[in-house]
Amino acid sequence: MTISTFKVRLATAAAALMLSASAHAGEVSWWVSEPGKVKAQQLATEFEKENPGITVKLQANPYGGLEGKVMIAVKSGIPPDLIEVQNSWIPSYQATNALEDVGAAINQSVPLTDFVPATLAACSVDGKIYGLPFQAEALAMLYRKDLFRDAKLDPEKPPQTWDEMIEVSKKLTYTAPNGQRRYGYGIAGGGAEGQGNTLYRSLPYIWMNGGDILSADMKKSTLNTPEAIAGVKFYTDMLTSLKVSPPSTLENGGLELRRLFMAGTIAMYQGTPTELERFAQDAPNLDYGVAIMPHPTGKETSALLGGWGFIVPKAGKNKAEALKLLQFLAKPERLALYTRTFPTTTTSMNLPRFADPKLDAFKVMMTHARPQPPIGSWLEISSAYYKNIQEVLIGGASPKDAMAAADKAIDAILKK
Amino acid sequence: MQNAAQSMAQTPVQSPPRQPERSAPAPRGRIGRYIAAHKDGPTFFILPAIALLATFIVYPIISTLIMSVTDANGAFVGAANYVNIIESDRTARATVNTIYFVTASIILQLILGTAAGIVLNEQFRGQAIVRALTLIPWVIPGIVGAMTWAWMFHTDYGVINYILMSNGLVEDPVRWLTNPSIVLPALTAVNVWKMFPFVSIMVLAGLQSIPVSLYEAARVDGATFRDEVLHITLPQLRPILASITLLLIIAGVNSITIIYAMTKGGPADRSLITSIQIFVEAFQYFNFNQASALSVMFFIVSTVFIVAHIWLDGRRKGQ
Repeated sequence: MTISTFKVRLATAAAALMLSASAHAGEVSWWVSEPGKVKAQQLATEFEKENPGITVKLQANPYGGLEGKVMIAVKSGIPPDLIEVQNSWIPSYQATNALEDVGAAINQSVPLTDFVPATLAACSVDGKIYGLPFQAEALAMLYRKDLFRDAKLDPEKPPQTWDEMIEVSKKLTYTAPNGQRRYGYGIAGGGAEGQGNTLYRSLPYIWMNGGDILSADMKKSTLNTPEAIAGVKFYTDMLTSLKVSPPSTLENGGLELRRLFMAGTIAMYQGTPTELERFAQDAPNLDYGVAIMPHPTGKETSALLGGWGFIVPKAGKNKAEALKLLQFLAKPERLALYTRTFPTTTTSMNLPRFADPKLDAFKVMMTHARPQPPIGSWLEISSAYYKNIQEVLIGGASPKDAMAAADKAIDAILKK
Repeated sequence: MQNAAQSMAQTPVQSPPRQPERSAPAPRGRIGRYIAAHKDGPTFFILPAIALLATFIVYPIISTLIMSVTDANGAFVGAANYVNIIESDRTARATVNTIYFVTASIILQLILGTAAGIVLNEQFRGQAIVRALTLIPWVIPGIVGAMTWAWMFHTDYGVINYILMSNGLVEDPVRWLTNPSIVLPALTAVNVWKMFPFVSIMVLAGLQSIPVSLYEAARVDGATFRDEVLHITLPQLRPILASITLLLIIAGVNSITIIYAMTKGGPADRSLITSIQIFVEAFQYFNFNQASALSVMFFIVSTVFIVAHIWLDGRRKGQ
């Protein structure tokens, strides 16, 4: 290839890139994640029929690396008009003031009072709403009823408190007659998505014990407190001292735990509502139950709210059309259609699709769920926390020393 | 762009026969005069290439340097990014891990690769097949190799633990990738497996350029195979081993795929190396300025190693 043809190709590629990024007037470019592609296509067609003159240009992105891809798009100056993101990413995008306040626009379509308050909080920074939350979920405890019976435990009485949890986990840990090692409670401690998976499974134990990761003003870490340390100790003890979690714990995230659960290696783990669909597909005869997360005696359970939403970048070229699409999507039946777990408004939650009694425990957990602190450096903060949880799990430090180290590291991040 | 294309098309037609200039001493004085005197010579032909190099290599280097002394808003902050990153305890751990990983990998790759190269140079039946098979680790994509090894190393499902336990060699499963004192040696082993075929092929090429007459002369003098290896093969291979070492250093400090795919630097940073630290700082935490500061230091250290290596090599040759 000669240099001149190379340059021509380069110019063509650059032109194509610019065309793909900027849309024509009356054309909303909408980014969704790969799993939502089919339903998004269906909604886009419906929207175009209702709004002649506006076309929707849909792009489905694979989940891997999406956070960075959206960050680059939002910072580029020529972002898509509407983007599906995880709500927890919103504060870091809004750190450079790149997002449109969509609170008023949503309110014109669906009253904000219809939303579960925590889901709006998860999309908010400094009291302003920067995203339409469409999906929300909290983890609940999944347990194998058949393994409970094998261990002479009542399958209709899953553990309620931390003490019962330890008791039951010990009874479920043994070598089966066929030589299979069985473990009571699989905790997350690593794996491909280890950081997020471990955060969602361990942080609630700190919360339900009255502790927290950051102070209310988000100016300093509060991990080095007796309440937080006790929460971390309860979680990590499952592997380090009680050994009721399998030796592969530091390789296990949500995906690996589900696999171990279906194989009968672990009897209990924390899972999302999406796991139920996977069980129905991969192991239709699995005999399992769903329970709320055990809490310290006399205290309430807790959960970290997970969820997805749609954001409108300030620099988008077709904001009016994008807001119109946002209002269209906010309607209860569309939220209910698009969500992969639960929708975010009370009206949509009452639709028949979410009436399965297996989902009841997840619904209870939702009422106890809290969003993560809305702070731009959250990923880095949670990474310091995760690293020190791993430090405890590999036996490198006690929960007390590890949380003191995490406390110091997080304070340093907050000072930047 | 058009002009460049035109000048490229026209220059050869207009240019007078090229003058011999290699023997001419480098002209003193202004660069402009030099260009004027040589405008029909090769200088203009290499300009497009130089422009590409400047765009894709020089510009990023300069932009990294600038980012390393500014903050996220572009304001000048002096050495603050450098101080921050040096003070971070992750940096110290990543440095030690990088030195361990690169040094151990290179030593083992050289030993194993040279041995394999010498064996492959011998005449035996099925030699071609064995040579081709040896190349497999080097030919398959790094990410594929890494994921396969990650599964083989898995504590509960891994075939390695299965073999060890079913033979009664170990009582409890070995935590290959999560035991802090095993993870780095395990990753080093994978890296050695990945790169030793490259060494052996280079060595093989070097071996085939050694004159057969040297061996014949030695055999007349009654040399054994061991004597031949020690006194002919290895000394003759020294220059090629030196350049392989240089390439392995560069590949080693830049290797990110294997470790990132298998452990992401975990557990608790026990397998974190500097290249992963830079990647995470920049593309996960979006601290581009600190990542740039780290890159600059990393670049300087690698350059020092490489320059020192080239200089030593040159001196050895001079002697």
